[in-house]
Amino acid sequence: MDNTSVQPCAPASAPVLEATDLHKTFRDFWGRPRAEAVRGVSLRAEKGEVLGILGPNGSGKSTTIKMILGLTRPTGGSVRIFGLPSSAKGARARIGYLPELSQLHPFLTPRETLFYAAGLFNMEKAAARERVGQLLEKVGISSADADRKVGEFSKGMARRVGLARALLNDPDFVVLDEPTSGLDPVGRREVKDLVRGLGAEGRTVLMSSHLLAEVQDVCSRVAVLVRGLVRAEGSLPGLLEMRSGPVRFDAEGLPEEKTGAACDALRALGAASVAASRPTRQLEDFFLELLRRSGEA
Amino acid sequence: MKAPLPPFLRAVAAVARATAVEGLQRPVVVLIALAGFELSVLQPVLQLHSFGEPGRLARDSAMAFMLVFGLVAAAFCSGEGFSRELRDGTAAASLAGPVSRTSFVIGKFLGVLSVVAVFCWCLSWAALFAARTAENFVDDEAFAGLVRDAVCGTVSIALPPLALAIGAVADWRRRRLGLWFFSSLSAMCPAAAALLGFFSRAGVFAGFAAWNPGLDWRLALPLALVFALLAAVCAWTTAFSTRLQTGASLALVSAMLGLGFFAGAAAGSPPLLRAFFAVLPDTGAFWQADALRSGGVVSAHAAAGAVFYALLHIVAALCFATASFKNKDL
Repeated sequence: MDNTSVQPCAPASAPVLEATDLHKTFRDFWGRPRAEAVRGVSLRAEKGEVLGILGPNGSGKSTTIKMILGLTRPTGGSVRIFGLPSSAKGARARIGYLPELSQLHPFLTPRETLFYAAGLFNMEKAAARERVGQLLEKVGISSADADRKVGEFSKGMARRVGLARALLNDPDFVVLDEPTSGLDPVGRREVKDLVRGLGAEGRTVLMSSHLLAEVQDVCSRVAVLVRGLVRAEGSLPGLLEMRSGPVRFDAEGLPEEKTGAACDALRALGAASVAASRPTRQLEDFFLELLRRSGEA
Repeated sequence: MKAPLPPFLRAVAAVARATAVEGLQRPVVVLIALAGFELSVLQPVLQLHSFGEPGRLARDSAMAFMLVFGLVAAAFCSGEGFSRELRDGTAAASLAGPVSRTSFVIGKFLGVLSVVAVFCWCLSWAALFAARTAENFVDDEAFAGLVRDAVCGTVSIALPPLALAIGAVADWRRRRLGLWFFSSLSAMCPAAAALLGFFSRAGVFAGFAAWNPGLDWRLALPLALVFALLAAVCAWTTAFSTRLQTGASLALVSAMLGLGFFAGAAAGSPPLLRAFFAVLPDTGAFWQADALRSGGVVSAHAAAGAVFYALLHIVAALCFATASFKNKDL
């Protein structure tokens, strides 16, 4: 990729994302305030972190993401990406973005969509051809489907094309707005693995979702937005740890007949009530295993 | 070795290419071109009088079809290619990358302009075929009266269905109806003109030595001026599409062009009215159909002036579009 014209000149130690006190007030035609969508959001993400933004509809998740990407102008506050203003081309060249619902050009094929994006990222033709081929394979678009119009695709297939597009420039910072929306359980698992993989490769991921379990599965840190404000932020274990209530022990390799003795020992130590049970699987794991056994996945 | 394009131009080229491919692939644009072409070449077959001069009604009508259908195609492509992108979020996906909004606007304009250029190329040939097919007074020993060029009429009427058939085959194989329809029609038109050169207007094979396409090349400049007007329309519809939906853009541009026909008559009117007409495109400067009456031609000087005038409008419209789009929340 030819990025000579957009080399960033930011300090190496700068956080990948630093959004400070973001405000956004939407106005009507006459300039009167119509809705205060974001009311002082501050976010920070370091290299390799998978940061989740959770919140109900209308909480300001998408507006915050658009302000971070420079698509919507904040009424107040500032955004720096890789230590540069979000409008800097040097910063934007290193971002991959998957918008909500993956709206694509319906009359272009996936291949054309990706070549179009390659042109926007100023990629050389040969490099673009190689990268497009790799990504189509990575997101599971067959060569026959790669030459069909995107408008004919199901929501899930279009989402895959959107994901490939978001990863085209080999981004260091990936912004995913509802990445699993419209995907079946297999596709959802693949996306979650992909997001985990991105984090493991040292890339920073900012992901918004309505699905709590999904965020819990892949994110290392979470910010919860309600009515335009960050109501809670922190690492998942820190946020989810229960300070009071029952203590759970995981005992692997304990023979069945000794379970009763273990319970008695805990009672003897002063536990008011003791319960022993076998852990259950997630429904998603059960479903995927069933598909695997049937040769569907 | 070919020098690489600067990033700004690469982005403009990428946006323009995608917009053009998408525009040509739209079934509505194919239908508009098909209707415009067929109505132009059918006109000489259906007309009942000569409008004072053989061929005049056919060529005037063909130019009018090119203007009206081109206006709809330009507004549709700009509206669907720009306001829909803003509404649906595809523009946001593009602009999240290292792409300036100015390059996006210019790319969109050039993409729509490419679609309109292909459209005008095809309809210009339709106008030339229509003028050749139109009634011709024949006075010789065998026959005296008005005849139509049956060979030219038949060939020109058959071209769009043939292009559509090629497009259908391409669509069956690679979902490429629009692109193949336009590329085959664009290529078949000059080929058909060359073939018709071997036939006289009476439909008789004239031999290889007597090759003459028999087309009224005087039409080329007025048709180019209609294209120049449509290029200005593309720029204005692109500008309006940054804020308005397709229908509203079409209505606004149509009103501008309609009022623009009166711009020439505003010379002695009050200053405010003169100022109002000064900012509208003077449509009459581009409509030179009457200049061809009785063997006349459009002067190169007048044509150059009109093209320069169109360029000024394009620059003004693109400045307006860029300013309007610069701070728009996506």
